Amino acid sequence: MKKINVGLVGYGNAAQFHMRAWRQVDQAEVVAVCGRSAERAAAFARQHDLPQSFASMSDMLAQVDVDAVDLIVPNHLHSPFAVEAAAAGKHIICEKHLTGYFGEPDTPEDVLIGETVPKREMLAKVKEECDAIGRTVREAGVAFCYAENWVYAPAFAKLRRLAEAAGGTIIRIQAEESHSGSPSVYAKQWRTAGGGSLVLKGSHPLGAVLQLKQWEGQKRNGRPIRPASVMCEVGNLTFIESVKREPKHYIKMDWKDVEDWGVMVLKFDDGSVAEIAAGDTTLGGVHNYLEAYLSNARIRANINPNDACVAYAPSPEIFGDEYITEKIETKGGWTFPSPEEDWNLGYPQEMADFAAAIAEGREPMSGFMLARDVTLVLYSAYVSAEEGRRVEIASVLA
Amino acid sequence: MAPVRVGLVGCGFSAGLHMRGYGKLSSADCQVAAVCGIPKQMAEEFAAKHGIPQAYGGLDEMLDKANVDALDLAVPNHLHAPFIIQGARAGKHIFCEKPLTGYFGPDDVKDDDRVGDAPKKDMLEVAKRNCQAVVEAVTSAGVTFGYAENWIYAPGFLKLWSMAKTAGGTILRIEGEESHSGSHADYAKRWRFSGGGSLMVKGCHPLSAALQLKWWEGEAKFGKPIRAESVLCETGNFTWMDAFKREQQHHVRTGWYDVEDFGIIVIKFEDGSIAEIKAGDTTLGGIRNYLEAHLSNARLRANLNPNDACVAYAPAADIFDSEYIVEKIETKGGWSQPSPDEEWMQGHEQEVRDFVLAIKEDREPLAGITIAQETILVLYAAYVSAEEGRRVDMKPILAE
Repeated sequence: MKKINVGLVGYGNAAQFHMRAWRQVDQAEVVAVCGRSAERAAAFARQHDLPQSFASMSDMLAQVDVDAVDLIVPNHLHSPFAVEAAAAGKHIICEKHLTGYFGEPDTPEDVLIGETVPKREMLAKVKEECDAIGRTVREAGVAFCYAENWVYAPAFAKLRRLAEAAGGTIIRIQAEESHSGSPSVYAKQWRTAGGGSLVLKGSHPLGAVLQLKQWEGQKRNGRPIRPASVMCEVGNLTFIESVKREPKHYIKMDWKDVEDWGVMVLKFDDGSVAEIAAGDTTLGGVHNYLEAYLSNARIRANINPNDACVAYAPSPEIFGDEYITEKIETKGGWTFPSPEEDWNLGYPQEMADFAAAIAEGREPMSGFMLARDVTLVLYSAYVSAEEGRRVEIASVLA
Repeated sequence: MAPVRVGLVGCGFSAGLHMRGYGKLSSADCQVAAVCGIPKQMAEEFAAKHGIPQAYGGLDEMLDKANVDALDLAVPNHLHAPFIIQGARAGKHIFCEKPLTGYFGPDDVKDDDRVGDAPKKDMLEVAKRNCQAVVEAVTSAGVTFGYAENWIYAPGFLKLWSMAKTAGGTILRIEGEESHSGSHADYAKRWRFSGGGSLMVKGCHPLSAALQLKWWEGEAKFGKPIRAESVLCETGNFTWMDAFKREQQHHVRTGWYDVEDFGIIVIKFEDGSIAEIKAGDTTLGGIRNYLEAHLSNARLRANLNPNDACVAYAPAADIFDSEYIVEKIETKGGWSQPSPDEEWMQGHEQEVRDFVLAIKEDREPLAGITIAQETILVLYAAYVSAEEGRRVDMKPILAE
């Protein structure tokens, strides 16, 4: 069995869980890491016992024989790095999202692009960029692996197998990712995030929903079922006057030019519907689920929380530093602790599929079409919310 | 004061539900004095079964001959408005099943007409006029109007509101849904009788509850209601999908004539908060009725049905025999969540009691004509949104 040599691009928080995931995959080995700071790259290499570290991806590609790069860099860098890596003949593993709209090179720092740039214009730019990446990847003949972990989360994979066994039509899907708000300032402005709750959180359930319908179409007709239209509403629930006046805030405030809540209603080309919600204003810990309504079955994947483990504490300090679940505000009362978060979220499973796909020269379950569809559906949804109308997306995706 | 004498109009499923509510009240508070229905024989059978002294072959005859203080309208949707107006003019208090009114076709409509194909913005105009006529009739007659929206009386929902009031946080987002695997009644499948599909017949419940919640929140905090500002809606016809039609066996109801079998309404309120209201006739697993409120300092969920007050498991479907489990569950096998007392849990008993006591105590019932009307206007604006594929501004629609 051929081992895939992987070079990590980035050493931040996400690189930590990618590293933990790669460690569980026999078929791959991380051989180098690179990032803007040579020092931090070296520290990461030491921490994880990696042979080499570099201050740029170009240096890494020039000096080490890697088969694939794992891009764990901010969203606006995905596109240039993906193009450079593909041109060098390297397979690509790319964190979501594929790309987005982050302003123009000459946009002044203080311009709130989420409030000033028409969403239609953003969609056009993003489509151009997606297609540029797609062309490069196709011409280089490399694999593009889209690191949408929901596609690989065990509960969702079980849902897919149950749906396959049932064989009924998937008529409706409901999915959501919400919690009480990202702490990072980068998440709160369009310039760095490329959108609000829908982009940062909604992209997960959206990725899983699109994959499920693609997969259903492939199984049934040999071609994917894709979205035909989207209707979307967004809100800024933390901008409500009475919220602002409250003396204590339990949800994160200070969102700049991005929404803190949104819902997208997709209609697929077979007539089925998906409702995807995302919010940064939801208390009670992260809320990740996907429910599929078939004509002959109903299946729900409670990615988080689920009741694999249930706990109760009469006061919040009792569980000390023990991890409960992402973004839970208190450890007191009844809780649903996540027994093994990386596994539950599908991180090792996605890396295993990527390594196998590269080795076998096949498409990964989460590949370029999904990455592109997610991005274009998201920005079409923003057009819908801004213009207050249903947006046809079949032509955008074509 | 003498007991309230109720005349029941209709002798179908809802009438049976209401009878259970009246049965829980003291005879010093209320008596069901008469029932009417077409054909008269059905009314007579219903009267015999429930011990109602008089039965009539229609509303005209009952109003003419029976001595009643109040009418309980448990009739198909298209009959609500004309019966309310007729009853109010005769000086009777009115208890009306949801939804209040709607659009049911032109005056010369025939039963087989595809009424649902009419432009939704025309429907909205008619529905609005019907609402106004009903409100006018009730107001000028000075009678009590009780809106039989059981969700507003459901203990789970009232507990949610009580906790929201105590928490005091802003209600940022409401999610509500009523779905199951399809109405059995044929009139629910034709716009001509139902005035719409899943959204009208099922969605009106969580919609009224959501509108009521924001209404109460506004009154409690600012002395005036918080009302809907815009709606966005998508509808679907899942049972018309090609892949669905090709399936050999159907587990959800089919035969929808000119109405949607699924819908979602996204409401933006004037304070910037949101409600997502969903309704479907294509959902397996028994009825699904819930409302969740996301506050700035709390999160509350009312599981009307199912909830886990009782949980059961049977290795085969015949084990629980004829014991009732929950509305529209397809099998009694496997895990289930049997409803211990559905009428109580869904607020059916409580709505009847409140209506009777409101008349006796000469006060407004908890669920009145305002929310009934607001619900219809939001629903038809939602249909406009789905048809025209655009967000619809509620302000001009809600303006007097």
